[in-house]
Amino acid sequence: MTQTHTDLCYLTIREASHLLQRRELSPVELTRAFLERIDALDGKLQAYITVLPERAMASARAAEAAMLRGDYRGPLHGIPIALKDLYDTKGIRTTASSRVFADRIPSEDATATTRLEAAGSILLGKLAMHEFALGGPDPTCGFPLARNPWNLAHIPGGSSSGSGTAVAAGLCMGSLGSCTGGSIRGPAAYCSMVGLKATYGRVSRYGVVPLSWSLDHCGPMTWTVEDAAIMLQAIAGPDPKDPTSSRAPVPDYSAALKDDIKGLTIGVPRHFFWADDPRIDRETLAIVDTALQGLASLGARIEEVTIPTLHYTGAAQPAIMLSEAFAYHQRLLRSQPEQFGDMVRARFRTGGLMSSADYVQSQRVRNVLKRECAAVLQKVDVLVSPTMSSPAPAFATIDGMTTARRPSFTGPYNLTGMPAISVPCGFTAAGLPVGLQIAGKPFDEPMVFRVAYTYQQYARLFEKRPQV
Amino acid sequence: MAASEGITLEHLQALAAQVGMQLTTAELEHLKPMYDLYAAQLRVIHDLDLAAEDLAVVYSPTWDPQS
Repeated sequence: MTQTHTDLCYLTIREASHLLQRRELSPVELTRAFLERIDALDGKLQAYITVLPERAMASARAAEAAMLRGDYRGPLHGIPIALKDLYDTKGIRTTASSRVFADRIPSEDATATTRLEAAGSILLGKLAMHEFALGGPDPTCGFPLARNPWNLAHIPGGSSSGSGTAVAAGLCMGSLGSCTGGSIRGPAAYCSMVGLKATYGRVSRYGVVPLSWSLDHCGPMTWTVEDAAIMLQAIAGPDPKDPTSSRAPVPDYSAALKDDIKGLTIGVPRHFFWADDPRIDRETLAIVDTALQGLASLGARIEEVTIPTLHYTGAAQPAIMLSEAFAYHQRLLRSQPEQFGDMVRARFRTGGLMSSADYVQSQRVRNVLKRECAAVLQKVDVLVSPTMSSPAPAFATIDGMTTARRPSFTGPYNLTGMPAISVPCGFTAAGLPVGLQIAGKPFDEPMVFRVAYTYQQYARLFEKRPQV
Repeated sequence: MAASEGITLEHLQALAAQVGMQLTTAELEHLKPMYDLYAAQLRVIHDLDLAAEDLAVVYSPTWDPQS
């Protein structure tokens, strides 16, 4: 592979968009570079389930022709992207990384798929994920397990594992993940990139294979905050096909990217995220403490806050998630259990064993948490914490209980529906990435983007790419 | 979930049967550690006093499912 291809594939969406708009780069040349890089590297990275070379090149040629006619659709026009393999794509196999859906070919696109295509993006393919978007790389699921490009012996996080791997390794410029308990922010943290879980209702879930209807969120996974803003702009907004989608106005997200947080107040719930718990990695906390000092040096006021119900989210989030997942999958769990991988089958079955009392009490805990967060967010602009409680584990250390045992730092914001982003904030001594989580008021993605962008420009970790 | 140190396989089998799952002993043994882990976590939230915390569904008058 030539240096030229690496350079092209490590452009950000915004950089490539400027080159495309000025006709200094062709969508055909850009798409070909990505297809060649996928061909060269995906054998070891295993980010893709399906690569679509003919379709991608046809789309690239169409984009080029449109641009030559002066028909420029915006910053995603001609940009090669890929989708987690649970976003329905008309006529293209969509597996959710499960043998259950091994031959499933949707007759319709997901709304987000349609919107990205309308924005002129080029679909390179469908990305690996944990089976049915439930955490844990399961070698028994029958599909490839994506590798972390910073260290191939480690997981890239999940469940949007292939999205993390592909964006970080330059195998696509941006991706969409889905998130029920941290499946966008987790891979973003583990792969040193940006992942945004938008507010519940901000992005349509129509045509996205569900895990848990009341917790599932969609959002972009990109190399930079600017690129996340560009992708969110394309997919946000009401959708009559998704009754939970919101009619709240969609602001100009790129306009929110001010490199300035002077006077903002950042809330830090130390009692939960810095708890005296041996499962929480102290090196991760030290790196995030340094990031907080950086935010303070940029003019933000750091204030410790208390959200008592955070301590119960580790029980409530899985109970809701697994109960709803069982409801969706129970017929197939009974009729063809052997089609599910071992990890997912066991966790879905556990959801069926939970009681209505478990589910209702968990939803009540969720309500209390939402009120507590709303009250705190009257006093602070955002909440900041580590994204993950520890760096990416090695594949060799993972078993069926790993995800269930680990404290979740991301699940609370799936319960509240608040927007939450992960941005890179450092590396451990072993060279594994650490992410900074920033959460805001519902539909206040502009504030979340503003803080994330300011930190990104300060830390400049986007300049460091993995050697693959 | 059962408030005990750990659920018995017989009890687990009965719970599974309630939702139509006929599981083998090996499958029940595989499931038990995960069930026990979640059951212990859930016992904590059942001990919370949430007073009259209300779960009523809120309908949005602006949503037109026919649109």
